[in-house]
This record gives sequence, structure tokens and C-alpha cells, in this order.
Amino acid sequence: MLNVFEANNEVYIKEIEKGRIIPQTTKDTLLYSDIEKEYISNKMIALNAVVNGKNYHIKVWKSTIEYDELMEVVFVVFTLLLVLLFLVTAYINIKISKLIWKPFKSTLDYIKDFNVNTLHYKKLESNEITEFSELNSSINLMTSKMINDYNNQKKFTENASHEFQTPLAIIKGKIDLLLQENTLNEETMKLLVSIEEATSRLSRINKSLLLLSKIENQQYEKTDTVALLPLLEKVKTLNEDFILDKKLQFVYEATEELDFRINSELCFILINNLVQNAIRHNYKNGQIIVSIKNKTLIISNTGALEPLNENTIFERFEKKSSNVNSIGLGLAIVKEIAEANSINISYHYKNNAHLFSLSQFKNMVT
Amino acid sequence: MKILLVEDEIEMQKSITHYLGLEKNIVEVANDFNSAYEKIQVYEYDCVLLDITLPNGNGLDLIKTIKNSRPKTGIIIISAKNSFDDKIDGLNLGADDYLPKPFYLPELNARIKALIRRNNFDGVDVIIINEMALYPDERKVLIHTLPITLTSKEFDLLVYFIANKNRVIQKNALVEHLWGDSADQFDNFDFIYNHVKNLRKKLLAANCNDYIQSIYGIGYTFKTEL
Repeated sequence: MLNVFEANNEVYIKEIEKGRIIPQTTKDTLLYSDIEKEYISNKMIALNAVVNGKNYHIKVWKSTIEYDELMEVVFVVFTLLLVLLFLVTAYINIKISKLIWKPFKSTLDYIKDFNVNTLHYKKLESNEITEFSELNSSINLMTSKMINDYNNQKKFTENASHEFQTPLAIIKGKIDLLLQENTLNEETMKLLVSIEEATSRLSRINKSLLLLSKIENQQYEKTDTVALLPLLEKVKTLNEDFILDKKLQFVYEATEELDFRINSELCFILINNLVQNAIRHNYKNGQIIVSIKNKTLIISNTGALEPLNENTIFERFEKKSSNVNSIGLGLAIVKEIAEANSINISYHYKNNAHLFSLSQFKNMVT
Repeated sequence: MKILLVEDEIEMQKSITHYLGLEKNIVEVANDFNSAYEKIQVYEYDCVLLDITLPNGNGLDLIKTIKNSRPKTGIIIISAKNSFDDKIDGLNLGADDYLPKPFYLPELNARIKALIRRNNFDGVDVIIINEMALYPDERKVLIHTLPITLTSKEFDLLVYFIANKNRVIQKNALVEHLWGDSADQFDNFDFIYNHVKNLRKKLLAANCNDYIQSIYGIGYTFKTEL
């Protein structure tokens, strides 16, 4: 604390009458400093001492301000050092971990970019870190297996279709031949026609399922910009006879032109299925309204006087009518095509009409 | 007509040979790529019916061979694959037509006839049946040398009937011929009766013989052998 014999202490000595005893006290006191021009806190010892027979009153004090400042300085320096140390450590840490995780990051990027439908398949390279090398080689194993399986599946769907269509073609051919026999009576011929119809239906189901799996497997990669109005006009012409047969009123309410980024073959199937759907589930003298507004295509038709189930309408083999020829895959195909091309499709029932709205998120399209 | 059928499925071979043979066509068959290749080198055919998936080879490769050695030979691909790419490839290589399996034999017959007519007519393409003369290019019909007006669908129907004359044609085969795949979804084909009825009326009005006979619930026969 306060050492009497330390240098830099200030001392006050005054002779006092003999015999007066001032007990030694230590206290804090404020003294006016000429240098600082203010009262500053001091530690002071006061006592009396007898020297050469004279009694003296001695006060020794020392400013504590230096000590406070010292503490302050020490504190600041230490804090700065600590912060610096922390920053440097953090920086070095980040640098090192970046360096260390670089191979991992590239592996991660590879996985993110990986597309099973890719034509130019590139393997991950091994590197000097054993663990990452191991990771890469297992990922390589996995991806090559995936690509293999995918290709096998693709081949399978195509081959399956081929294998199904051939026996169906044989049955159809034989029925055509049988019908030419002069010995058949009408009943037999009708039976043959029924067999033929069932065969055609089987073949259609087969074709539709193949189409669905092709879309799911993203085998329609090439995309074009397809203008919807001319396409609608084409689809309408193709289905003219069916529209006339039901005496349907076909109305355009297009205020703008709309394009979809989509494979043109798929777009045709999409629109054709929706238009045929609108014709098929319509009643005589009904109406089909096609409108393009706010980048949304809406195909609406009159039909059943109650809303369809929004949740199941797009499901496979979900039949909406007792129609024998309907195989219940038309809207499932529509949904699949829409999803594969980031087209949002929704169903509403409004003012006694069934509405299908389509809009594409342009930014999501590559 | 001399036709080569390249097809590995024996029962398909038999059906097609039988149906085409009803009209005194000569139909030869090849079971695989190699025998097809040999036959093409040695003989000349009016038309080759070609399956793409063949034992020991791809049918597409035969197209070039045929087009190089016998450019006048018509080629119709009959494939179970029904793949858009195969169709485009085949047509680009020089095939004239593409018919996915399964098909109606009358449809195949009609396509063969149309193809051979296109490839072989001298001067004017014309089909003559007794008092009728059809000009497919101009879509014109003369009856007793007088023109009658038919709609596009009625004209197609008439050509199809004539190609398969004296055969029983199912109404579904007619529907598929006129509307193709897009007819798949529909169940009510009543308007096919209207088209046939109108065609028949127009022919009768021009003093044409009544060739079109309907077989109730089944289809039609275009009878020229009365």
C-alpha cells in the first residue's frame, strides 16, 4: 500500500510542542493538486516522531491517481491484446478449416450438381486426405450404380412397351383376319369387335403409362418456346368433330399472348388432354372458354353440376366418368407434364364451370 | 405388287401376309437383319415393311441400303416402340411412313397403297373403280365423269374404303384412320355414322352404285363385287 520510505512520496514535516502524541493513522484524503488543477485522491500517513529531542508532526502522502491510471492502461492493453488474439485465432481457424474442408466442399458441390440423366458422367477424383478419398470413392460407387440402375430402368420401360405392343398387335391382326371370314354370323363378329376394343384399350393404357414414366424420367429434355394461342387453335381444329358433335360453343377470351418454355411434343399433349377433357365431360350445347390473363391460361368448361374432388382429380386411374373408353390417365399425364416444367396447375369450380388454370414460374426455368 | 415384310414375330408375319395376300399381292418375309439385307440386294420390291427392332441388327440401317440401291422402293416402318425419335430418324433416313404397332391391317393396307401410288404413277395420280375416278392430289372425285363435292373427311373415307374394298372394316379402324391418336379419349363415335351416311348420300345422288354396306354394330364393307 503506502510505503513511507518509497520515493515520489510527498512529505510534510512541522515541529510541534513536546509531549503531543499523534497516533499513526492511515487515511484517504483529497488534496488540491497544482499540476492537475483539481482535487485528487491521496493516501496519507500521519504520525509524530521525536528527532534530536524535537517533536515533529509528519504527514506522508501519495497520490493514488497513478495507480488508477496504471490499472486503466493495463486493462485496455490486455483487452486489446485479447481481442487481437481472438481475431487472429478466428482468422487462422477459418483459413485452415477452409483449406481442410476444400475437398469436402468440392464433393458437396459435385453431389449438388449431380443429375442421373447426365450424358457426360465424370467421376470424383481422389485426394491426399484418406477420409475424403474414401468418401469420394463411395460416392463414385453410389452414383455409378444409380446411373446404371436408371439406364436399366429406362431400357426396361421401353422394352416393356415393345414387348406388350407386339402381342397386342398380333391379337389385333388376327381379329382383322377373322372378320374377313365369310362364315361368321353377326354375333360372332360382335364378340370379335368387343375383343378388339378391349385390346385397343390395353394398348392405350400401356402407351399412357410409358409416356408417364418417360416424363418422370425426364426423357423429354429439349425445351422450346411454345406459343399457346396457335397451339390451342391447332388442338381445337383436331378436335373439331367432337366439338361439333356435342354442339359446344368454343370461346377465346385472350387479352395477351402467352409462351411456355417446354418440350413442344409434351406441350401439345398437355393442351390436347385438357381440351379433350373439357369436351368429354361437357354436355350438349355446353361451353368451353379459353382465356389468357395475367400470364395464366384458363380452360373452363360446363359439365357436371358439382365440383370435382380437387385432391384426387389428378391421380392415376381416378375415373371421373363411367365412360368405358376413358382410362383415367389423361389428367395424371397433365399433372406430370406440368410438374416437370414448373407449371402450376390448379382446379376450381366457379359459376357452374370447371376451371383448370396453368401458369409457369419463368424464373425457375433453365 | 411385290412387298417385303421384315418382321421377326412369326404370328405378325402370318397376319400381314394373309391380309395383303387377299389382294393377290406377293409378300415375301425376312425374319432378321441379314436375310432382309440379302433379299434387298437381290430382288426389287414395290414396298418394304420394316420392323426396327430385329435380331442381329437395327432396321434403321436397312433404310439407307434400300434407298441407295432401289430409290423407288417405298418404306413403311412398323414399330412397337412408338418413339418420337425413332420416327424422326426413320423419316430423315428416307422412310416414307411410320406406323406404330398395334395397328389395324386395313390401315396398313391403305398406307401401302397410297405409298405405291405416289411412287409409281405416271403423269396423273388417279384411282379408278368402275364409274368412279379419284384424284388424291387434287382431292377431286368424278362419277360418270362428273365432279361431286366431298368434305375432306368424306374424301379420306372414300380412299380408305377403296383401298380396303370388299373387306370388313371395323368402325374403330375408321375412327383411328380419320382422327388418329387424338380419338383415343372419346367414347362416342356416332358422328362417324354421319360422315359415312353423308358420303353414301352424295355418291347415290350422283347415280353411283351403292357400294357402302353397313354391318350393324361392327363396321362397313365397300363392296365392288356385287
